[in-house]
Amino acid sequence: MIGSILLSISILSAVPDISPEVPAAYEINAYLDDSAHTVTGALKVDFVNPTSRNLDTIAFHLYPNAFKDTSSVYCREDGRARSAVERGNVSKIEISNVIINSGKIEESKYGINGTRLYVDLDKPLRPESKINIELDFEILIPEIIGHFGYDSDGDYLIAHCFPILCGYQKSRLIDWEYHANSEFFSNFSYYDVMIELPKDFKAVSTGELLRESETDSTAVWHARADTVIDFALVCGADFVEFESKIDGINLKYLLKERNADFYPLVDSTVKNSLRYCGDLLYHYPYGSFSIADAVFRTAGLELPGLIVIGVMDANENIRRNILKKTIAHETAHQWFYATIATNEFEEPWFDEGFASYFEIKIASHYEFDKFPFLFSNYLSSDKSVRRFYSIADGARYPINLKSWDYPNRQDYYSAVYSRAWMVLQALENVMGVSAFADALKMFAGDYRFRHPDQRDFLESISELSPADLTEFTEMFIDGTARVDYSIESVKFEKSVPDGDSGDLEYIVYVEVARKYDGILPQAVTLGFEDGTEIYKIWDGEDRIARIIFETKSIPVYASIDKKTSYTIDENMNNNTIYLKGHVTRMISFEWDAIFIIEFLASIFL
Amino acid sequence: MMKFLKNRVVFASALFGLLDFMQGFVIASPILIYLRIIYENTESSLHLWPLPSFEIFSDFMINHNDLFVLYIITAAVLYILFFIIKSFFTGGIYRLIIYGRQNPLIIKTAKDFLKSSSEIWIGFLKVGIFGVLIYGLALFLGMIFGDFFGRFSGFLKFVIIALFLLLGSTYLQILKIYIASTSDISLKAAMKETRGKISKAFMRILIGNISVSAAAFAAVLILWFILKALKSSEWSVILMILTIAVQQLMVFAVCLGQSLRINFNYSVIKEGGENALGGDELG
Repeated sequence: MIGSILLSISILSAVPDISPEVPAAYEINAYLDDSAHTVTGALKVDFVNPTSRNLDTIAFHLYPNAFKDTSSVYCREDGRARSAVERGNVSKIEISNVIINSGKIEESKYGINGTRLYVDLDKPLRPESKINIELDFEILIPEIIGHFGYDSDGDYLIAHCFPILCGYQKSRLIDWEYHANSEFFSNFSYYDVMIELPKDFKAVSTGELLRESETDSTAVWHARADTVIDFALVCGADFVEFESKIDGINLKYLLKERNADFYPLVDSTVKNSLRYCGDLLYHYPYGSFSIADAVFRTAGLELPGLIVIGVMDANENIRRNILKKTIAHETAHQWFYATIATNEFEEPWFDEGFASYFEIKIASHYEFDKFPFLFSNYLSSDKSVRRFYSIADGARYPINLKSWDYPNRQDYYSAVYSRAWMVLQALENVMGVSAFADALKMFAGDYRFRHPDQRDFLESISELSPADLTEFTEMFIDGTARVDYSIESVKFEKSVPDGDSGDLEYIVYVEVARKYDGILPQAVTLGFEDGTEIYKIWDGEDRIARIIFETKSIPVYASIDKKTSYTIDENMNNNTIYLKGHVTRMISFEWDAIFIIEFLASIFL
Repeated sequence: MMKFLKNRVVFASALFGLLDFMQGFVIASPILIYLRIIYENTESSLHLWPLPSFEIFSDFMINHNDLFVLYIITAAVLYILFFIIKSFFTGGIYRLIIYGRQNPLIIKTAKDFLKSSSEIWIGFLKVGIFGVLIYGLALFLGMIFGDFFGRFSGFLKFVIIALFLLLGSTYLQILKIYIASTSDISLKAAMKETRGKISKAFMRILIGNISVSAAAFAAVLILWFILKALKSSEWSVILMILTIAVQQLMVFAVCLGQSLRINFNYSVIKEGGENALGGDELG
């Protein structure tokens, strides 16, 4: 093992300049033992204190310890992980030989607490002062559990594995335990990684990865990544490699052999997603982007400059669309997570909500948000399912809780992914589509390669918002406001015509209601026989309001939010009233319903 | 054509179809009345073709879930009530099919029909209740074998489950045939008396029922494609009428298959022959 490490030691080109903005530079030498499922190696990190205070302790993440035994926070929170560990599928990371500024320190000076390592400093590290820490590590890789491991094909997802520093956000150390719902947070850093893999392995990673040398049985790979929040690698023998390029970005794909036919679909979706997010936010800032296919327990995983997707059997329409949406979602994370590096521990809605928002935008723009089901003109939409999923949950929790404050995964996903998307969409409508797009672009530009929090976001977009967002924030981001607006009734009466025109005029009274506590401005529309529409904006504040229109003819319908701009509205069925009912349409549906029961009855005669 | 319509198997199929339609109507009515009230004047009524949009379904489930639960209970009660009535008429239709052959009792009037139905009503009720067990067992076995063979093909899993359900259905038909032809309403006797005949002619029964079911399935499949084509166009009154007609033809095709199976099973159990098409009456 030592020999292998020595073999793989590289001569670094130049030590990058670390600063409070990019406070760490890592040099990692590692060896993957495929038969023992271990990664062993040595890590060196140059670190500059990015805070405004002295630091007495340096903290590292030791995520693999989440699955060391069932007493971990993760296992206590997640039954599936707990049973995996009970079955003996464990992971752990062991640390030894800790050296600070070339001086080996005693074991009593550092200690492991769950998924964190704390190293006590002999003397405080002053703001903007540098320190060098070295350590050896040995990681036992489990069969896929949480966010890393090897899959049933023997391919590896080596993510969140290495002992990297806990990050600081606005001078505050973010050293939370690894929770079952939580994802990650760390500061932007430089990585120089040499890793020795079995010779037949193919690999993709964060940053630029090159196969540098080979022995009889192994190959040494060298990765360099600038200004990234983490380093991850996917490798295995069961992959087919593809390469492509878009707008100066080198794309590298590792697809399972059985899924190689899906390369064109994956490639086009990645390119579309990169371009779409790039246009709306800023150009993807790295020179390479990698996509790996893994038999993974969730659909996808975002990593810096690398996404992992489960291609599965994407032959059916529904799976193909799910795959495309997963790619769009994880690619959007290259902005909201990887480069606008929000705190996934404490504000998981921030990156997941935006990734969901962009996923749905991309799907709609490239027309893969809907797919035919059963009949060619019956279009099913994942967006509708997602909306249902969240609304059915009843907005029980605000979207901005810490990830572990949600009592279970369903509430977490419902709030952080689905409701957050609906809240962002509502915000877009409150501000106006154009103003929201401008505000978002400005925010993204300002906070690129930074660690903004929710307050930064709201302050930033408020600058371009025509509406005051305080109440909106209280209701929908900090609160659990629910929304349902309805048309209660439509009445009209003839009015005396003005002047000599002789045109018969009508006064139309539309009674609208707000059924829940959520308040959103609404467009109340009247539609006429010739297809024309008129509308009035209602501030949506009163519980019941009467909107009065003067018209030349009797309307066909009255509608509130006719364009269904607010997916957060929990009942779309009460948004429109037609003055004349659609009797034949209903009869048609009723025959369909009767037929289903009739047909089943005829089979089981 | 008239001869075709007067054929007792065809006529019985039409009666089965009518019974099924009534069942559908009775069970669906409570929810349909409510849906008519809430949707008739809304935008949603324009999004019920070819199927209700997902939003309509989801918003209904979220905002009217108490009503949905209530409906499920109502539908279950209505199903049980209709099952009792259906068992009564089904007995008459069975006799209509099998008496046309060698039995001296001929059903000519509605009065004859009701009388012959009432004689075996209790027996049919017993078989109907017993059917829950039989279908449960068939589904259970179908799932087990289906899971095993389903490894090779998903379609094979479906076929195996369908085959077990068909076996269950055939056994229940034979019990009903026994009751209808002997007027003996004892389920125990029916099981005992038919056991030997089933084991003796098992392969004939199996192949005959599979053949008839496969033919009915093919007819339903063709009609389904027609229905699919019709429903893939924009809604119109004409399309609605055509759709209803095709749907009823699908039900009729299934009912015809059922009647032919009854006739065939009767032939095997009672006569030892396999004249599934009702003698020379179909020409």
